[in-house]
Amino acid sequence: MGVDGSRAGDALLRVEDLRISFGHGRHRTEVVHGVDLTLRAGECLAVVGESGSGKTVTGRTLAGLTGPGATVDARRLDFDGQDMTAAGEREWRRIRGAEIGLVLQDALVSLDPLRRIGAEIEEALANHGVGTRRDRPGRAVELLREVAVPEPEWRARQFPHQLSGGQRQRALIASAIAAGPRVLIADEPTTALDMTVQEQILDLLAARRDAGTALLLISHDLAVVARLADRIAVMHDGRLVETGPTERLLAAPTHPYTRHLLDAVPSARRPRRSVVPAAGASTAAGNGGVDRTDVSHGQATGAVVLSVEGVGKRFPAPGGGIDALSGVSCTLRAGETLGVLGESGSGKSTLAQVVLGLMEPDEGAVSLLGRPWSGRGERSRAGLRGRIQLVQQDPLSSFDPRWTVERIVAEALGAGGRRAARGHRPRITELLGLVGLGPELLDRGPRGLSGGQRQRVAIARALAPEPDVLVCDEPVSALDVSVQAQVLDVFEHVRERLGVAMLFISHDLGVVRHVSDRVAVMRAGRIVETGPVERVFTRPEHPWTRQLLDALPRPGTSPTSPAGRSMPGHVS
Amino acid sequence: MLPLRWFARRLLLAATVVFGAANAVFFAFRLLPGDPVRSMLGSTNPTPELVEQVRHELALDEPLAVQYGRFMRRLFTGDLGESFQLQQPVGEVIGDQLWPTVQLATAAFALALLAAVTLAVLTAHRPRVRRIVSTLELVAASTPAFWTGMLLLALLSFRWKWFPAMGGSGAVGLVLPAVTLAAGLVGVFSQVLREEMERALEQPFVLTARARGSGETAIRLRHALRHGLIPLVTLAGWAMGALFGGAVVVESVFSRQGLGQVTAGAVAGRDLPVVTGMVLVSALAFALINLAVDVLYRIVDPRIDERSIG
Repeated sequence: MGVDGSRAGDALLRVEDLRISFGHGRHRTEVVHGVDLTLRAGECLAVVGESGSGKTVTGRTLAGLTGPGATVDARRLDFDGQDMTAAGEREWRRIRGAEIGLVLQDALVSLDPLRRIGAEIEEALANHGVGTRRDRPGRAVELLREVAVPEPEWRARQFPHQLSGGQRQRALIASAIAAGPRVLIADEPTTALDMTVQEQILDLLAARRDAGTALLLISHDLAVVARLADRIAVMHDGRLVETGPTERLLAAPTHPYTRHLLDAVPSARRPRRSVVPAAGASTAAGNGGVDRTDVSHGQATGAVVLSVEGVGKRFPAPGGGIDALSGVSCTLRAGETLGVLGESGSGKSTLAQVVLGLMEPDEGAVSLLGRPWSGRGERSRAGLRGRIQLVQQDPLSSFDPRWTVERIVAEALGAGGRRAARGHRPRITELLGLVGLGPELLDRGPRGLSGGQRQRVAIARALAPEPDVLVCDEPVSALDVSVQAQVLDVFEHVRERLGVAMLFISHDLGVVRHVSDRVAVMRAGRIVETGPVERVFTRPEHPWTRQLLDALPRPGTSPTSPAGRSMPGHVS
Repeated sequence: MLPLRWFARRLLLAATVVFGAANAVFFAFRLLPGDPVRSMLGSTNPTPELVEQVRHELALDEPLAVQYGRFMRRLFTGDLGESFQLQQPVGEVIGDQLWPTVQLATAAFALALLAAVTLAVLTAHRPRVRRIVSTLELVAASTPAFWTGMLLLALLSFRWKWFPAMGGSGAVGLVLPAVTLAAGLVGVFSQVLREEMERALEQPFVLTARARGSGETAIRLRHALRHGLIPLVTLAGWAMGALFGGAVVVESVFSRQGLGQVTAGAVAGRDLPVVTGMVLVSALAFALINLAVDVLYRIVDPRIDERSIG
């Protein structure tokens, strides 16, 4: 696409008709079908797409790291005027790190867990002969300071697991920029991070760009890239479907897929249920949603199904202990959704465990359906066990990989064996229908399902014992935005049909705003603010809530132009 | 960073293991069918008087509790008793033979480790060579030591006369026995090592290292190898047992001095104190090796430090 109107002269990266395929002979499949890109110094180009769109493999190819078994064809693949289409490993090695840096998603696995932070940074320096062996440690500390890692001398001697997520990501960036590359390719650099930390990392990347680095930002999240990108290229099925300046693309997307992506983002800046995805599976959510919103927002009327009173939980740790929860109280009424919002380490998952009766609180009590739930033996809980169920973040690891969908759901119906499962077929089919899945999936294994289908099966399994309370721990965090929207619709639909109460835990403000009636904001083991969802999001009372909302990247605005604020499809 | 309390607890655990082994060996021999005195005297068809006399000399006619008390008392003073056959303190017998075996085991271990690291580093994620080497490793791992030893002897000692066939001293005499003993370990070591290295090579941090411009060799040696060594440390305890068991055979095949020979002789001759001593010595060695393994873990894998707090 020639929309970018680039001046050909100073393009650092210039790619034309890039095609990437994997496999050989008959098994060869092309995954990227002719991509054109240019990237200039001091510019940020964002490549946005869902998983499987080919954005990651495109990014890696630009660093010569497509991987074994891949074939790369391009009419043109220039770095700084130098033709790289025929470059060998030796030539790429000279460029990697020194001219083109790569930052990956999760620094916990992207930095060698057995090596010190400093050593990883020094490696980049040594590879390109920057400095002498003597002054490299000092230079590594300097780089850590540059990316604003606190106490850099000390951190350089630590291992990745000893750093916080944000510090790790900074250290990873430090190792990528160590040898001073002019191009930085960042593949989902903030995806694993909390909202506030994400903001800081984006600022750091913006600073690199302003210092003249050409930044190629790869992400699934339009909101994240909108803050930073000068231009956005939307990728779908191995093709760039639309490329253009950020404001233009967000304000007036021309390609239907771009519009679809924009619509599917559950926004924390819009009231709930304004987002109904194009590929929506349920009609009930759309109609019934409106009046239910009105009912549940003001005064919740249903009976209290779950009540948490003054719960505290302390974990032993060196130097005393950590209060994972302290003085946490909340109630959940029938048919109501309470969103629990918090960053990692805020105690929201501990709360889930306590509520589920998987962990005993040190203080306080939990009661379920008016009966004591905490502080009793598991055996005496048995009668109530089915009343509260869990949906986890990653269903793949919560399924037995050798079981079929039928068996997975049947187990929750109390039919553990393969033959017993047969007998429950009608009920299983009904449950699958409830989450929008057809009976043809009954004999599939978990690996034969897409991410969205898996999460639907997980929901069906949780609904099997007809629970009154569903605890959902980051149930859509691992999903692509359009799939996320569909799964959120399933939750909505399930709530309409069954009136099940939900404790919906998430770090994602948009998701929480979309599904919740009331919100509880957690920080450092405490609930700092609670209230009806609209009130909390429009008139936050606690400074922390305000900080969270301020950290939100806004689609439609970028630091360079605060002009284009509104987006299409903004119905409220 | 080694918390002292953790170390003390480990040491206590090691002592418990040795104490347990001492009890086990004491009672096992009393519970076994057959009379140690009769089997000692062997096929000479001894008179009842002689049997009683020997039994008295060995203090085997006293009540079990008294025997146990004496055994333990002696044990705590480091006295392992006297060999029935050699008429020599057991401590001395073992002490004399310890060094050649330690030499052999250490040489074999080092050899196996070196070979395994070389093989794994060269063949990880290289399907073609991997297949060939992997087959050879399987053959080496499943070939009994006496067969390997005899083969080496037949070729290298008898036919080409490169190495001494029997005993031998110094480094030259050590070569064939060490190679024989190492052959059984190499296969297991390199399979485990390669498996873990291949897992590491697929991790994002390897991609990051490549993105820094690191070459293939640097990535294998600096990143993947260390990850591969972690399960190998776990295997070290097992390897110790395999080495000692193997030494019994190898020392016989090559007519080498050593604990293996002593143990084989003592078991055949029902030399109770020597067998007991050997069991205790190997239990001690086992406990110490495992202690070393635990310490080594913390050095190789920095993540362990925090996990084991509690």
